[in-house]
Amino acid sequence: MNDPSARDHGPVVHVVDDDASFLVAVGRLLRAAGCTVRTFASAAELLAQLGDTAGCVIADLRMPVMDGLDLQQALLRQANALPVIFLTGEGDIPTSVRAMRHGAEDFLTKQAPQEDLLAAVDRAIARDARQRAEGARLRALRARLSTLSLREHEVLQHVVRGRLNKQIAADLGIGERTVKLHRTAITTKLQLRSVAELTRLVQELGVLVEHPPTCPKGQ
Amino acid sequence: MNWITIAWPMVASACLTLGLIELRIGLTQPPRAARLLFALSAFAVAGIAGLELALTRADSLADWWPLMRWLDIAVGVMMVSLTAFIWVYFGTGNTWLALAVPGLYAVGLAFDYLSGSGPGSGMTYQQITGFRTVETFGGVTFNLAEGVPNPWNVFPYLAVLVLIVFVVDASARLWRRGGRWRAAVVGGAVVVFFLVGGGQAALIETGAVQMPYLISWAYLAILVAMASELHADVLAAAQLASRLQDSEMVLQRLRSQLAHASRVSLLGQLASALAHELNQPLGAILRNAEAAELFLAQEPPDLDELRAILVDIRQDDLRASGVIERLRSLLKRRSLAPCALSVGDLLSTVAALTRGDATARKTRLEIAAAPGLPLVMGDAVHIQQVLLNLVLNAMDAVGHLPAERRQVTVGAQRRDERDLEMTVSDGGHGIAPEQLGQLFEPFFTTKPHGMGIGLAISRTIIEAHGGRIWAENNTSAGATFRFTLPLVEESTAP
Repeated sequence: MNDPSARDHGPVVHVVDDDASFLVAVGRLLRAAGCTVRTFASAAELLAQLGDTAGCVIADLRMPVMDGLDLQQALLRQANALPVIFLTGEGDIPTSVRAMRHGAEDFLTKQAPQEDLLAAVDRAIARDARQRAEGARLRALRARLSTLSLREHEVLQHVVRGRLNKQIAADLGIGERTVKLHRTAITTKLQLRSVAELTRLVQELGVLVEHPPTCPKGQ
Repeated sequence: MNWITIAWPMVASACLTLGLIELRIGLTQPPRAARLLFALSAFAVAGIAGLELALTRADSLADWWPLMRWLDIAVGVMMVSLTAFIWVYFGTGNTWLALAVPGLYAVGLAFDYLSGSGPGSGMTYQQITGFRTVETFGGVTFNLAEGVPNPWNVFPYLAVLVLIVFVVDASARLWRRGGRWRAAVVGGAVVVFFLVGGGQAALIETGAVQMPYLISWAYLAILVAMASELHADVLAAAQLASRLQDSEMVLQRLRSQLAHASRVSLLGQLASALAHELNQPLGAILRNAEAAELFLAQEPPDLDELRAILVDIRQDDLRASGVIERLRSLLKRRSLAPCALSVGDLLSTVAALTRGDATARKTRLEIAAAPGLPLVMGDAVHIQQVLLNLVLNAMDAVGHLPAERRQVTVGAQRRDERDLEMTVSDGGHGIAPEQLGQLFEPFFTTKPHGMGIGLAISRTIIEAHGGRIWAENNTSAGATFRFTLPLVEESTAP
């Protein structure tokens, strides 16, 4: 039933349900609809085997020991935060609100129309792909940011606050020309073309710039 | 054999018969003084009848004198016991009059035991002059003593008069209180008895008539009155019994309705969990059918997969109807219908009904039944109701614990040759010792929204099965509820 080769290829729909027969049935349907499917009898089993696989998770909300919401929390805590579609015997509003607030992709009853289920799976996989692409972009940026020297970090912080080269030079006790040189180095290393682009980038990676782990004068 | 030797023993046996009946009633728990006193008077009169008969045969002073003394004692016993009887039976009477009766009679009786002036000197006569044989109806003869009457004989007659006054007074008091029938019949009969019996004795002793004593005959008036009282009592008892039977039936019906209502409310608690239980197979059937459509559309269709799908659909359908069947049997309104049950089946049904709820509450439900348990005698639905109640309570009791310690254990083991014991244990806070005794009282609850009905009904159900139910605190943590059920007797077991 589980296809180990799927791990390395495209997105995988991970289905978790403590009810064996429902698990088999959903697995069948998704496979017949062309998805790559892996099924798990418990949340713990899924977490243990998930790894870095792309795709999404379909989870029964009500399971013993670790229920759907617990699984959602656990996924958010770990690196591979796959989107979760909840399936439930009967919808109860407080639980669904909680689930959606924590970023659930959808909240469906077990007898929801097939189209809804498949559409939700498509959306979840697409969202995962977006998240992954975004993650990859941010990782790359972070990697480039880490190539900056300490002094360049300092200059960068001043630049994003909108300070002029003259002010930066005075604050850091260096020449204005040196500040200009640092700025050129920063844009080159970060592969940026304008200060606007730089500001946007810094907003995205805000924390990293505010608190560079190696910055001796961190504020 | 003549009519005298037949009639007096008949009177005596009538007295003995009613006396024995009244004695039997008087000795029931708690003892009834009035009945015992009446029985005593009836036995005394039976003795009087015997003595009266013997006196008709006495033709010498040596024969006559001891009989006469015994007769005087028997009459005394009869008078005192009747006075006390009226007093207790009517629940009213004048104390001084009542005490005067034995007092006055005792003065008269004393003459029987004083050394008198002549032969046969006692309460009745100063002296016996001789015996006469008298012929009466049918040529039957009897003996009669003749003598000089004792003027102090006025004391026993005074006692009789006081007794009559006492009875009339007591009857009047009872009449005013509303006990008219009893006052008229019993009071009237006693008065008639003493007027007739006392008057006839006086006529004999003054020599005015020549007859045997008829005290015991006069007593028949009282016997008839008391027999009618007894008759009324028996009728009242029969009516009471039938009313009791009716109310027992009403109670039974109410109890069964209450048990049903409580079952419905139990299922209400389980409703969301049961909906989940039902939605699992229904959801699986739907997904399988949808998958089948897709597999059919493939070229060529995957027949193996389709076959597997059909098998699964059938199984899930059975599963869903199992849930509905369990629900239906619990919702049905029905009275207790015990039959031989398998403990394993009982426990697995309860486990199936509570599985969903246990999952929702993240509580582990452990079934620990000893292997090879014998069948028990009981009504499956009602026993499931008790188990459901106890299991849901136990899950409430562990609700506040961290998830890994939320466990409820249901067990079953043989207790002795006749009983099986079922237990439901939790690891919660346990029960306050002062509440252990009240738990099964109706409307006693420790839950903020509890009705206090579940355990009370559980007790009714278990006791109707001839079992017991009780609770105790565990030595470690939490509480255990236990109940017993009778095993199916070996001879009837399959």
